[in-house]
Amino acid sequence: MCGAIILLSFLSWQQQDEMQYLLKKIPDAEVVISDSLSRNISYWYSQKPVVLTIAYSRCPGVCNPYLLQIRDHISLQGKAIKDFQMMVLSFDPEDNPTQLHKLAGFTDDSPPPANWTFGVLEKKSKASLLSALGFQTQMAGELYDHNTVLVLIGTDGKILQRVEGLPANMQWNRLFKELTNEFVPVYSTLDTNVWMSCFRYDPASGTWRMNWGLLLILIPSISTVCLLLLLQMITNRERRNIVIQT
Amino acid sequence: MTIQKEVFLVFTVMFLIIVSVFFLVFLSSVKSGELQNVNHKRAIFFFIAFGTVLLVLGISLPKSPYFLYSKEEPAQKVFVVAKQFSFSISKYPINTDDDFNMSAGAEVTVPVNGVIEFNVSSKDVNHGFSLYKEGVLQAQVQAMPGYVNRLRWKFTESGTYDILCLEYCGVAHAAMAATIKVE
Amino acid sequence: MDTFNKKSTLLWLLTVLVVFLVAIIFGLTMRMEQANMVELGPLNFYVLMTSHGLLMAGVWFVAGMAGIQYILSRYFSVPRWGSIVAYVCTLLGVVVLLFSTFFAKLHAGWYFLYPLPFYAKGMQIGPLLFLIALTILGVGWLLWSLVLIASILKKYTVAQALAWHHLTGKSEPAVSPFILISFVSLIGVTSCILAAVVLLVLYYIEMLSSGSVSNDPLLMKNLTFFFGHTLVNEMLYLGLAVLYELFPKMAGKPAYKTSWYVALSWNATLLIVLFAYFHHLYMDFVQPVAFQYIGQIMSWFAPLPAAVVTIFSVLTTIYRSNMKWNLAALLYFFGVMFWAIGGVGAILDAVIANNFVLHNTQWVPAHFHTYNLLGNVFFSLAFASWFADEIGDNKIKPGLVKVIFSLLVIGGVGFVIAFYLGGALSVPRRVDMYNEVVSEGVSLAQIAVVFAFLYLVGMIIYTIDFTKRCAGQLFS
Repeated sequence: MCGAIILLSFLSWQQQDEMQYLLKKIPDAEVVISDSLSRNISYWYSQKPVVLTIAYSRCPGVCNPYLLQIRDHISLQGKAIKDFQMMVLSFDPEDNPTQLHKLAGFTDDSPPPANWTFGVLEKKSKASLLSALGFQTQMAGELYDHNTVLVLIGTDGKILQRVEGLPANMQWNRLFKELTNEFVPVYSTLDTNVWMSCFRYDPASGTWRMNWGLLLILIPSISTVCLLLLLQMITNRERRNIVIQT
Repeated sequence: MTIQKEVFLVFTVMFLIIVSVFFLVFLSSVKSGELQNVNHKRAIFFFIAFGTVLLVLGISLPKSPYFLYSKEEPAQKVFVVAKQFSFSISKYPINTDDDFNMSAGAEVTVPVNGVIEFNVSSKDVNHGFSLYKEGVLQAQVQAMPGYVNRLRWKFTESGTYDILCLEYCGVAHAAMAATIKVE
Repeated sequence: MDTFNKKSTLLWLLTVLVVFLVAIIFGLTMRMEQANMVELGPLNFYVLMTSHGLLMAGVWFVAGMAGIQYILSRYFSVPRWGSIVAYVCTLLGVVVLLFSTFFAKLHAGWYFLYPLPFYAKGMQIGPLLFLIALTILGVGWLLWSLVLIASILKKYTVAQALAWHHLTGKSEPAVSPFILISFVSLIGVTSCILAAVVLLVLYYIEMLSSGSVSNDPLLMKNLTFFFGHTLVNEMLYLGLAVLYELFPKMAGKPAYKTSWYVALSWNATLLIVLFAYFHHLYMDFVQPVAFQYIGQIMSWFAPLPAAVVTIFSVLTTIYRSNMKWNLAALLYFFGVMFWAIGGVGAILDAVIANNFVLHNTQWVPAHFHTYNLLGNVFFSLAFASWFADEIGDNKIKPGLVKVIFSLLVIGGVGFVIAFYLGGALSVPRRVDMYNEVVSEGVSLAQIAVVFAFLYLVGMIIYTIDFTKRCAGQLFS
């Protein structure tokens, strides 16, 4: 029975290694929020948890629909809004906060809620922050190829959750649960040189998934059954002799 | 009455029942004869035992500590890191050795009647994190390296609580202790 | 009777009794340290604790195996080399083990919870020696267990030895409860030793990689208790298998038969026991809750089949049996009683909500000492007494039976009650001295010392009597 449970859970394949980003402190990068004002990112996360995403306004592809979806989702979460800062940061040096506003579908008539901040990352500290978030960009002509991530940063500057792509409903739920301090079981802080582990924390669903290491727990039982069958084969002839004699 | 004493009471009652049954059967062994309707009696015995097991499981499983106060908002998060042979307890996360040394030996104060979430981990071997009030064990969780165990607990009485290491962790295990203040 | 069989069993039993006395003295010394009656210091205390635990687990395991080997060879020929290899490995393993603890000062506890051996103070070589000792023991015991399984399979198929045909109402070929229970226990023993093999391999990999690879503590803890818990559990069943064979005859009743419910209950036990170990990880909240619940459910179902069938059979066997009680029968009958009592202590602790305040308190040693000191040990001593009556030159004196039996029972019961009280009073286990928060521990330890001493005296008298009556046979 237990074996069946374990095998079944292996079939629900887990997301690869979001783990490596969790609980790591992000570099305190500098963010330009207007022509005259720039601040370190810790300014925001030290007050409230930050939900952070990276985009750029010239993006011909995913950035606009991605931000719109995020905006819609957050507007549905009435209760949690006051509990966090939403930040949209651009990695494109040619960008500015006003353009980012537009990208996220806000206009002068419908301005963003007070907890939204738009900013452009300062060149010096940009790279280290992006790599800590697992955000990858590549120049493609004038524009960039990139992935999309949504990251939840705690008030201690550590990554509490990281979602690649557009969060599914379940992932949003988890994100807001974390924000509203509801109970989340655990995070693992296993060393990177651990080569076989039982469970992996899956940030996508907020649950623990079984990992390959758990198969090691099955080895004893499986090899016992194999040994039994092997011994039965070996002793086959002698057993037949006994039957013939009797 | 504490849970421990209730368990001890149940145990004592069961102890006496088992001893009396065995003793009565032992005394009967001087006579001769046989037990009648053995299969019938065995079936009754089995179904009583089976029913008891189901009943106890049904009552006790939901009382497991994993989801204690899980619906409530914690009034305070407390971070606990154990290391041979001391605890470091802080209201802020403990990551580096400096963090550890800074909070080692310092006493943390938490509010009474609020949900406290202990985030318990270890820097070296397995330790145990336990909360004692006047010598009575109230709650515990393991401190395992590489993992953070979250224990939620509500202190209903103010005062100083003792924290003892409850998992054997090496020579000075018995001396590994700390305190936490509840006000 | 085959003389090899007689002599080898005698040698096993004599070795077991001697090692047992040594291990009791270790335990007694630990209690004296806790009672502030001697001054050992923590390091020596934990060295004794490690040696005590492993010697006790090992010695009563081999005693059970020796009993199985002896009875099994009354059914059909059992190869000798399994027992011989196991004996050599056991002696060698114990020597290396004691060297690693007393000389190299390894003190990681008998189940050496990862990664403690790497962090424990003491000589660098200690953990390696300790692992080598375990490897030697593991290899010897695994081979022995496989040889015994193979000799059963020479007559029965796996399905027959598990009495599956009895489940469908067929009675041929007849499989006695002894064969069934031995087979079930040997399968359990094999799988838990294989768990130890996996555990040891992971340890060796980490050691040889000199730090570039490390293991997952949660995985290691799961493997540790798969091995540790299952071994200790199965060795009780080894003793029970022999009880099923010998006890009805002592009461002058017909031999127990394998009926459908006996077959069913032992097959269920085979499976259930493998999942009960999860209860050792209740306080590791990171283990998925489903596993924790499986742990409690299995721990509560585990005693149902085996205990209900066994306890009921033993009681009906004795009821109005016009029994002539000898030492073996007394030990068997009351061994079953204490096994049941220890079982109650165990399942109370296996309730997760109770474990929250009982885990790693003295409740734990309380329950397992009950069904080892007063259960499993009684089963093996009963076998040894029966064996001595079979081969010995003369019978034990009736007066001596009373002395030995009362000392063992009074000593044992007093000793474990001190532990149960410790559990009820939140006194932690595995400490060399008590924090002032739990200072009751000291007076409880003082009480325990007195009773442990009585038990020790009982065992010394038993061992002297056994040796006097039988040792001569070794050289005849």
